[in-house]
Amino acid sequence: MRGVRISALNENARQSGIHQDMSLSDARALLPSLVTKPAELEADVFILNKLANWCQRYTPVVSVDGSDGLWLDITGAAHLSGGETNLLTDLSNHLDKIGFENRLGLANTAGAAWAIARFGNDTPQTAQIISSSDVSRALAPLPLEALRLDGKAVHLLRRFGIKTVGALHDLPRASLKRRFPSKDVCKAVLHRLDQAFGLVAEPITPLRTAPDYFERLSFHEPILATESFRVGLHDLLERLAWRMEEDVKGATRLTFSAYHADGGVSQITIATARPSRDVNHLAHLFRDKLEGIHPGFGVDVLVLSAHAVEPLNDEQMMFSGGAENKPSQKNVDQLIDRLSNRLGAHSVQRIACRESHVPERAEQRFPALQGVTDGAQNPDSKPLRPSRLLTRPEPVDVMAEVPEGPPMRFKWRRVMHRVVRAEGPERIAPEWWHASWDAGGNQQRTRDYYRVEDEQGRCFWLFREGLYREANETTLPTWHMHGLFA
Amino acid sequence: MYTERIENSSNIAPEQTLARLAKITDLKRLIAQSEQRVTVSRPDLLSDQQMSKRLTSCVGEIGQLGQPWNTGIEDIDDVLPIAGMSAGAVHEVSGAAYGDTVAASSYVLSLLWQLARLAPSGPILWCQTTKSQQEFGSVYGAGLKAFGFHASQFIFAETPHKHDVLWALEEGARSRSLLAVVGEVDAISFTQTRRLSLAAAKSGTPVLLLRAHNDLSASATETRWRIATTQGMPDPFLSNAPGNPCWQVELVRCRGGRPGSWNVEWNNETHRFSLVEQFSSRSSEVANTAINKRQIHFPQRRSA
Repeated sequence: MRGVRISALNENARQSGIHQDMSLSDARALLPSLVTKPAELEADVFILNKLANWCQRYTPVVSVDGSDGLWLDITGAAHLSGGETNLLTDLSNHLDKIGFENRLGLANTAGAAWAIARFGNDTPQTAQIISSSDVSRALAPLPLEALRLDGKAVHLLRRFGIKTVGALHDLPRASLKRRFPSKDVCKAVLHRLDQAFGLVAEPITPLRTAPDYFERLSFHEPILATESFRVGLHDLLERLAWRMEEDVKGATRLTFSAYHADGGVSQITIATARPSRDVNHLAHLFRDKLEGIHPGFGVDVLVLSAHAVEPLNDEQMMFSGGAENKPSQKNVDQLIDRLSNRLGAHSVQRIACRESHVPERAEQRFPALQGVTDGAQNPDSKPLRPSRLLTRPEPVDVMAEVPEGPPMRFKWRRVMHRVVRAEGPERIAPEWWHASWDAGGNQQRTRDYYRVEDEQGRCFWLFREGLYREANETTLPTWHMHGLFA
Repeated sequence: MYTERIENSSNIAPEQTLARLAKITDLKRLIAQSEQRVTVSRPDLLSDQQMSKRLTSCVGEIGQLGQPWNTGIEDIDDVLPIAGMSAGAVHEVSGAAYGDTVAASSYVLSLLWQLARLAPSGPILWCQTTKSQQEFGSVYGAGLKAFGFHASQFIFAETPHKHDVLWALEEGARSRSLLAVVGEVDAISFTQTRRLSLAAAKSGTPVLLLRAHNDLSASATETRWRIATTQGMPDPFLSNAPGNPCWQVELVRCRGGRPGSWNVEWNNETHRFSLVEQFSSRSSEVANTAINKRQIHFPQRRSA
């Protein structure tokens, strides 16, 4: 393969006799008025992925096939678009409108659908459906390439005089085996053949894991107003909640997708601390984010999918009409959901205590959405800890009476403090089982913590990092401010 | 002086009892009305729904009157409107100077403990801006022990924008599931505090605002406290070590109460306030000789 070649072409060019992989000079010779542009393969991959996302309006199981194809597993999803024929017509019309040439094939196996879409009869625009009863009849006249075989195998089979899928299918398998130079080649050919005829399963790996629950709403005319989204969302939520209630389930993550008429997708995802199917609560979580949807030329399909589904039992209501005035764990969770969805999951945190002496490691902040973890309790024997810990220790200028003693005076944030009382040191050595290098590339050193009080009664938590007896010119001990007491 | 104190302490009870009595009378009247409805149907009486609503709110209010949220120090509680602070309101605390902000934050924690002791219900939502976190750090889980709390009782929210903090405060105050809501905000307008106080009044969840020391703008809060650190006593077992925190607590503003200023000590072990006499807030040298204090300093009171 040398020189510049044609990587893609349109119908007009095809009719003039140009085909894929033809060299550019040959093509120019055939058709001097040919307009060419350099291929942008990366952009093609990008747009194909985008198209795949958009195709999730029909089914959640969509996958990209090579550089120019898409798989859609519409099992159990066709009725949402009004049947298989309607779905294909709708898909074809939409793709035409957006500006993609397309060939559609539908069969009960992925291999057969692939074959019929790419090698079916030469009138592209009409979708071809193979019903489950006549797979072999429909595939028989197709060339061998339709089986997704590699070039060598096809070449070999041609030399045997086998030119169509039907001819290959009719051959007894035992005799076929003998003709191939190696077992592997034969195995590959037969595997593809079996896949096409449905004798071997071929699951499609979807771009995204298929949601546990999936509701879809399509509109005749594209909708634009946020209010319409809200109404549509509420409808979908009710349907989804009803289905989850039947199964005694609740979701902790929901995705609302709006499929644009011009081939784009807007998605909003919300997360909850506990599994939920409370329509009002979930709608509340979506409410603020709905305004973030920019419908462009309009949205014609809305899809709501539930991920991370867990069992959720019905709650017992109180006789007086619910625990409305009583603060309950449910209310706290709903509050956490609202805060986390607006401020971001990492902005709303809880603290878990961990068994560590290093102060910054003794507590771990984790998103409150994860729920409460019963972390280790603080050992009561631990000396007093400050009520506030600085985000990171700040350097302090210190004057101490003796090198290994508490500070006498120190300067922090440009203010001089004279120490009146001090308690310490509390020696905290780095944990050997952790990496002994911090983020800045400095080796972690032993810390001596002091609790000091200045003339005004303010109480600070300082530490000296490093020991004088271990020090050399480059590793002199340094002082830091780490926390503030009451 | 002595008799006055007795009067004051006995004054707390009647005021509360009166309020409770009034509420109970209300309740009795409502019950009587509902009984009447069963026997004769009269159009001018309340409907079922209205009736149950009124009854619930009445019972709720009586429940809220339970025990006042106070500091536990008579001198301070006496000047507060209902012998304590009301839960359904906004209270603000600020440091007297930049360096006292942490003391103010600790005072908030100690007030919260006074509240948590009454009715331990729900976690506390603590909101702060990223700026405030960089300036004064964040609440340290292990340090909460000095205020009686455990880290798991807190939910922290941190956002770069002040309006998000205010939004979170309001959401928290409205949720009816929290013990209290605390917000660290620099500048807050009257309208914003008013909005928060309406939310607090509706749900009965107190909102505590930790404001910057130099922010003196008007606000719709029930109380405004200003806290200054003072030097307290040394550790009882180690004369050179810092002891319990001591603050000069100033009640700058109080709706329905009187302002005042006190020196208090917070006990890290028992989690209680105690009043500190003025002269003990001197340097450690004086404190160390405090045993002989009476002989040295007391001016003799002369009888007439």
